[in-house]
Amino acid sequence: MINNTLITAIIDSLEHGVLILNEKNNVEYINKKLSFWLKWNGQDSQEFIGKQDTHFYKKFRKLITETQEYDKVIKSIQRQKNLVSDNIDVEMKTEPYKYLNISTTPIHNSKSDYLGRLWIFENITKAKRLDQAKSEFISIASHQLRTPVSIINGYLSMVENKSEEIEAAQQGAQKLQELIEDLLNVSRLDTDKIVVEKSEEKIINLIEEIISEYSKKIKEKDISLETKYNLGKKETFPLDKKIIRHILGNLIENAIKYTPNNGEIKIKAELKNNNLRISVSDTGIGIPKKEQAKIFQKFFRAQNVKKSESNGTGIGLYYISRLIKLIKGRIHFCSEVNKGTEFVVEIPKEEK
Amino acid sequence: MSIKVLLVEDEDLLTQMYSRKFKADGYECHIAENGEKGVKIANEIKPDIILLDIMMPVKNGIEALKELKESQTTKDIPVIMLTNMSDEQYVEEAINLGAISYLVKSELIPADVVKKVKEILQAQGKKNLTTD
Repeated sequence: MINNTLITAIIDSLEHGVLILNEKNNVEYINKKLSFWLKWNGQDSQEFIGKQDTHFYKKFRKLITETQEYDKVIKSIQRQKNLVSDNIDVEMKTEPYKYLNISTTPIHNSKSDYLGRLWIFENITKAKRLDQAKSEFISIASHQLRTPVSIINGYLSMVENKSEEIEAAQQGAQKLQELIEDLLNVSRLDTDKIVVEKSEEKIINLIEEIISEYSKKIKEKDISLETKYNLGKKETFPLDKKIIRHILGNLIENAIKYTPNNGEIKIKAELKNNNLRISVSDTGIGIPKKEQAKIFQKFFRAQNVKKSESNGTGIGLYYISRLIKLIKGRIHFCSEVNKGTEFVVEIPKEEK
Repeated sequence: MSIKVLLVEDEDLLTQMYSRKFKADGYECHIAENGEKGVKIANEIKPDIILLDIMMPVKNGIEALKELKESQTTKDIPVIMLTNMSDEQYVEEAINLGAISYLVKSELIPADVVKKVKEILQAQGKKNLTTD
């Protein structure tokens, strides 16, 4: 397949490792960069040329630390040779090419005949390290910030007969703490420190428990809260309690925050095709059409929100959208300005 | 006889804050400013309960917890971790080593901490009664 000197020269000059298979899935070509990485790890690229791809997969597998995802990709390729495209990050056992992003895609001609397969190996060590350093920094900084905040909040809580000034200081400290927790949560997500642990939970119980944490805030704004469950009272579902608490808590908190006094909040839950569907709707300020596409981005805050509420980090929805992804669920919403917003979360029973 | 609490914490402002609340609620509150001193004092005074920070100089809370649970004198004293490190790895390690509870300082005001101590001591009391 590779017989053109020019093309070979181009592929060899790439900063990425390239492996090409022919239509029989024999290794046709390994470019300079990949040869070098293999040599670095004590493997001779010439050894693979002309042989079946499986031989390469096996040898390469020995160079990486966590093989679970890699094995999954290889398996799916072997099941459907001509179709599978995939992309994974792997951690190598040796430095300095510690992290590689590997992508693979089948090659077809215009008549859709299978011509072979392309593997690209990109060294992402630098980016990965930078990201780790950033997350570590946020994590350490937030931990360090927690101590003075506990001191401020603690002492303020002990003041008897609080004056207006003390109460204002207390509110400020409270907000500072929320901000720090948000930052900590996000840095934890970025470093993949969250492990999903599911157990069978009584759905209604759990939802009611979460709602009760916000009853004070709901009362303060004279908001009427309505719940509707299309479920048996004792119906259970495999859930990670902590994660659901974050997701639902965040949605309820937003609903309270952005709904004016005397407004309404509705929380519904039902089971649909093996999915648990929870929705939170409010009669709040809504999300402008123009900005709807951006609400799950990190640090995003809508214009009308900025006007009505000066506090907030724009992390909440980003955080829960990542959590929902972690439990393989989905979130969507519909919203109209000054009418309200409804968020719907769907959580699958099984991940497989 | 009042209940003896040992507070192992290196941040002076925090020890003052918690001990003030404990004393106000009628507890006897002892203080150690690092893990090493914490283990030493625990062996000397045999407190009813220990509150243990994690990030401390000389000897951190995890190492101190290990030693407390290895010593015959202190192994049965309930230990509550009271820290700002909330990463799961620490929680798990502490619980596996025998800590009875894990509290995050920034999430609780002193009154909450005292309440938790009370609950745990009550539960312990009940347990002792039934097993004796």
